[in-house]
Amino acid sequence: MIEEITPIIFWAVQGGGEEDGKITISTLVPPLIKEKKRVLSLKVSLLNEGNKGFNLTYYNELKAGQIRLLFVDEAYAKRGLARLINTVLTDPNISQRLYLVITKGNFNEFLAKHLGETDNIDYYLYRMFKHYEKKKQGEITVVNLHQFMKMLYSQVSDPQLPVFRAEGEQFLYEGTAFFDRDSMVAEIRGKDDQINQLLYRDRFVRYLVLPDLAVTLGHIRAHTSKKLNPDLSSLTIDIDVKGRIDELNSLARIEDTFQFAALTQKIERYLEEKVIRLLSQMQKLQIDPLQIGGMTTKPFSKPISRDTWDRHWSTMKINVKVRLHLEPLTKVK
Amino acid sequence: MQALTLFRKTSHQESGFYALFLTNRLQMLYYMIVMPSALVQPYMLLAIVAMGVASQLCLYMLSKWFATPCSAQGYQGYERLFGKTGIKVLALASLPLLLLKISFISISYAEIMHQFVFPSMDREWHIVFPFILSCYLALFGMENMVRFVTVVFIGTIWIFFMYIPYFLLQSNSIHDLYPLIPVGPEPFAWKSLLIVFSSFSGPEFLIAISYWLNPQRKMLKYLTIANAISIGEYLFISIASLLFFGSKYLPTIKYPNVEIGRYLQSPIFERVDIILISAYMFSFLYSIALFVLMIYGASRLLVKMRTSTTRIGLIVSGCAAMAVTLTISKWFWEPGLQQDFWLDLQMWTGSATYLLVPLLVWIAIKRKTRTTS
Repeated sequence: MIEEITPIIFWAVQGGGEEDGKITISTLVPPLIKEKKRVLSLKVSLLNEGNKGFNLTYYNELKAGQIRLLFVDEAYAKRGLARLINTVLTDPNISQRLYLVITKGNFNEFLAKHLGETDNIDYYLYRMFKHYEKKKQGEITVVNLHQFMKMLYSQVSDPQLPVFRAEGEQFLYEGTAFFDRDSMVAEIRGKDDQINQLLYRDRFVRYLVLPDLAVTLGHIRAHTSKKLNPDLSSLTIDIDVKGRIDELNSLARIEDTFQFAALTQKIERYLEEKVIRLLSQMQKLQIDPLQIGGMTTKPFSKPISRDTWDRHWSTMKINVKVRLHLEPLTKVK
Repeated sequence: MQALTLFRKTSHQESGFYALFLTNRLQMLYYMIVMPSALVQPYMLLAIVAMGVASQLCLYMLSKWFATPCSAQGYQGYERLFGKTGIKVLALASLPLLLLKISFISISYAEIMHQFVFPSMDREWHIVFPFILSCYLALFGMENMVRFVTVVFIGTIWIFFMYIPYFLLQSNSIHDLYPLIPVGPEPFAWKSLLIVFSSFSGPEFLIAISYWLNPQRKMLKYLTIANAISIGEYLFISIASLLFFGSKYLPTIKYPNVEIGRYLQSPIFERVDIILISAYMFSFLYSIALFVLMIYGASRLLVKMRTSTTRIGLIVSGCAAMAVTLTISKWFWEPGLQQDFWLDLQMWTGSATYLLVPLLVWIAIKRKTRTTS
């Protein structure tokens, strides 16, 4: 019985740009068995048409019940994910914990380079997301189907998803994609992405690399408190950052407390500036991936509409205060 | 072999706990799983509390019945209260209500089974098998059934604890629970209030089995505890699903409880929701068995049977209930319009019986005491 079915770990969806609206859906079979792998790829107009088509091209029955990842091409995401997501969501076999990932580059080519018998690339990718999903890992953005839907449905906020680039044999984390309702509108990388992690729900970042200041802060734990003015004219963000200096180009710079304080202050100003830049980018696009709009609900008043929120949000004044609590360096010379 | 006496009573010890468990399980039958996204707005949390208080009033009237000596006398007790014709009228009126209740809960449950567990099987099979099991349970007789509720209660109350993780999720925010009072020009939620009230209904059927509960004066205490547990459970589940989905996403979901269960993950077993759904079956099966016994009892009153109870009689009652259920399921329960009709019907009858039955009994007791004194 069990030999006759093949559970699959992911679907990858590309295209949708052609006039006929067709998409290319691919997957890798078989998972985990020591057997030569194959990439199955079909050009279809409906997702489940691909699902059915796979069964007709492979000797086993493919089961979507174990599907863990859904890779969606950037171009597709820019046109809106709603249709795709709805299809996945209505299938009772598919878990709500399905990870959603935006891909760039040629994903099928990347798969084609991992067809070895012991190269369980599909499973490793799943393990990676599973690992970073845990609460205290602020390395990469991880969003599953349920979280995406909740963000999408919340009246005034927008979702975000991780972006990866497939390049030859590599699959690299690039940053976070911001959505306006269901279509991708922007992407942030590097430091911006890390600041986004700090401000959003992952309040732990292992390394905050600041090459501009030649400093790496490590084991960052941030406590963010966001406050909206009652008349929605300004937003105050207080960020308390605890951590330590993990790397510094010249340790001589912080030999005395005065220099240490000066460095701290410099980093604080730098972070504040970055946060404001990131938020004003969101304001310009009229998107709210940090779910700040969710804070407008109050126990005894009517929730505001999307239009009202957009209007207030795009002109909102933003005050940011970063307080850095760095552990002093010891035993260094 | 001793004669089969389904309605025999042997023990006379106090059994307030059976009443507690019965009340709670009969109340938790609907909303736990069937009542879909009726309580989607955060302010409906207050409605649960308000209707819980209203339900307490009904339970208070019920406890008056338990306090009279009539309730412990079985048939003679009813006869003294309502007279011979009165009982017949009541029995006749209770039959369609019981049948409706049985059909509604079994089809709703079958539909969930069909949708989430065995999608390739006909829904009707999910009705037939539970009915066979329920009839088997019912064959043990009323007294054993009443005692069995302890097992049912312990066997299902743990589901409650499975929802604790949803309060600790990262994506939760307290803002999902706002606003707490209805604001703006929304249509008044009288229908939702009715749904909540009918979800508290069920204990009125205890009147029919008060004989086996060995009623005494302290019954109100047990009923109050049961009601409080039900309010707590409803609140708990509603808050969990509001936090999990948010008040905008929740209305789009038909079975929030099951969908929430699907988010649980266990390293051993992928589909935790299947276990949850199966566990719910415990109380569904039990209630169907109890109601089938009641149908048998009521129809015996109607046809004036003097002989002792028989297995065949019970099985015929069970089959009749199953036939009604299957008919409704097969021809009158299309998803969408007709399903809403049945939900509405159940909502109205549930609320009506929960309000009227205790009231009727209470008035009858008042009249009785006035005429005797």
